[in-house]
Amino acid sequence: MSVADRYVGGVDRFRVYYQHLASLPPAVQFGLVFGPAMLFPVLYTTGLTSWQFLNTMTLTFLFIGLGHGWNVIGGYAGQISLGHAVMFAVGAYTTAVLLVYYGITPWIGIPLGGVLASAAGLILGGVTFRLRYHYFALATLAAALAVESLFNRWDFIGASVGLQYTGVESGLSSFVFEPRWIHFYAMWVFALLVTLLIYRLHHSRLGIYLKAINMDQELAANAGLNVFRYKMYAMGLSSFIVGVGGGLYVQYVNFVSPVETLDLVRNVEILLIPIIGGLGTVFGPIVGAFIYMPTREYTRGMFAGTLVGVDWVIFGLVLLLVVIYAPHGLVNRLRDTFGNPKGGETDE
Amino acid sequence: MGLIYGLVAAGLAIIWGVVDIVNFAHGEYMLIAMFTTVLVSNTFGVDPLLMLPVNVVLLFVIGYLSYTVVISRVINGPIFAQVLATFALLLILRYGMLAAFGSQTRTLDSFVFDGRVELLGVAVSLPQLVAAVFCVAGVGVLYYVLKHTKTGRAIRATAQDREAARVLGINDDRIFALTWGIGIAAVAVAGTLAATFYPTQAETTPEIWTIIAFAAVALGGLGGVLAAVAGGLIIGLVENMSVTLISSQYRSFYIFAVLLIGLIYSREGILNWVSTHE
Repeated sequence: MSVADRYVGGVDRFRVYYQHLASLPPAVQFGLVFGPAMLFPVLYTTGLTSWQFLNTMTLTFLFIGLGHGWNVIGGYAGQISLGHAVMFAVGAYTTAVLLVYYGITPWIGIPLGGVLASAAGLILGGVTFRLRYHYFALATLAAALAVESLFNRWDFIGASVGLQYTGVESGLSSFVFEPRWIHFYAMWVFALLVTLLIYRLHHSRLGIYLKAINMDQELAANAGLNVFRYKMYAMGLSSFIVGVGGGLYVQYVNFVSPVETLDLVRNVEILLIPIIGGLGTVFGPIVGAFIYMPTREYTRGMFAGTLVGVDWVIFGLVLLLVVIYAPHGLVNRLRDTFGNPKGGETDE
Repeated sequence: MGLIYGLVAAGLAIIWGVVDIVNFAHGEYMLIAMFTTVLVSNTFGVDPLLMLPVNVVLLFVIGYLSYTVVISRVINGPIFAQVLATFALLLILRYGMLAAFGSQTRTLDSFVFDGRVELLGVAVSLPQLVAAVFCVAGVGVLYYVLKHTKTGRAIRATAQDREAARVLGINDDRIFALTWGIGIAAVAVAGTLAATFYPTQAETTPEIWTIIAFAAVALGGLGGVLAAVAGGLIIGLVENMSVTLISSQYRSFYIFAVLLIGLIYSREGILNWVSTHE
């Protein structure tokens, strides 16, 4: 048997595996992702895995949620926002300011951060939604960088130094947990809830409207859809999710600064995840986060010190391969390659 | 300063207008030129101005290759694949240079034209004056190439209607690659000149230049060299005026604000401008 024969056999076997997986009910599919992950902190506390692994996984689950959040506006509605770091920062800063300055518990601060992020998103959307394609992307990027330069000078929130959680005691009410692995479950719950929400959205009327806007905005408008209003709904929801994610993040790292939350890279990594995974799919952000975060964290560890920057070069190359060979994301690519060509299956 | 902005913006506008791709890595290409200028001239004592032709050729080749190796593969893909492809170029170029040349800020040791001169009663730094002169020349060459050479006509034809150009026997892929080469070569001129008075740092320098170019293009319009230059001049003016009138603390904020306002108010104008101008 030649190598080529065996290769074809391998592809066929993958096809069978894939179709098995794709035909499972969604609850089982989610269970396969989220179930085993519940054990990650146990693996760490028993010493089977390193802190780096658990830290990476904590961030991975946070970014599953963030990726879903961006996917609402970018994947479903097709609006490439490069400004979602603003909403992330609003969520993070709201939570941090309330806790550090006023002693208000993040149990209030995080949802409030989500609401304020939502408001910020609606303002941004209201101003920029009339722009299309590149122009929308550019305008949101400009807004994000403008906010960064403002935050860098705003003394109340610590300007470019940012806010430290000095003197905040750990505990349930301050949402700063000791030992830190408890935060993994916070991210896990966040990712799970957002995934379920997106699953609902995917099959809801709003989800279908958004996909229609993505396909052809003029046609959708002609069919009687209030395009602007539904884009605003999507923006509000998307911003809320990302804002809550920002709040959870600041509780985990206990530190917030403009560079940390509003950097160009932060703007982009939020959208890398659903794009790598597959836009407008429920599993896209999950797949994307599991590829992006470990790659970033481990290459960063490998090249720390003298070769700072090499990790980003490697990531740039990976990104190029993805956009060249799977421009619609890995989930869609898998479906096109292994899925049943006759159809009969949904997007998952 | 505004003239350099204009030249950077012109390079961006050509690529954007013809190939219909927003090059997020624009400032990174400029950084290449700045680095080669500073490093070669500081190490070997070569005058920066002699680096000008070298950089133009070097970056033309780099731009041409960027298109054929990377961009040509995503040009027919979805729009976010294009955005991400140039963002990947940004990461590779910026952090490649960071890894190669380190994170310290570099400035030029010596330049034939150093110091200041009196011009119409105003003290002007000589490097900036020289830069301005060469930028005008660069814009002139660019304008001439696009307007009066056969290649330039082919480029403009492709920008107007890719299909029709292809029917007429124009190899659109080659034209796009040439456009990238020319656009990036324009940045090479700007980068070489900027290096004579602007500090070079791998992580922070390129971003601001890219944004300035975006803002200038948003104000000026797509595909037109002169309009982009005009946009650049406006940005330079706004920046200077707001810095002197208000405060220099928010320098980058003014540019972002201009970009945002320019985008929102000229959104119809940009497109109309292209169609009426060609």
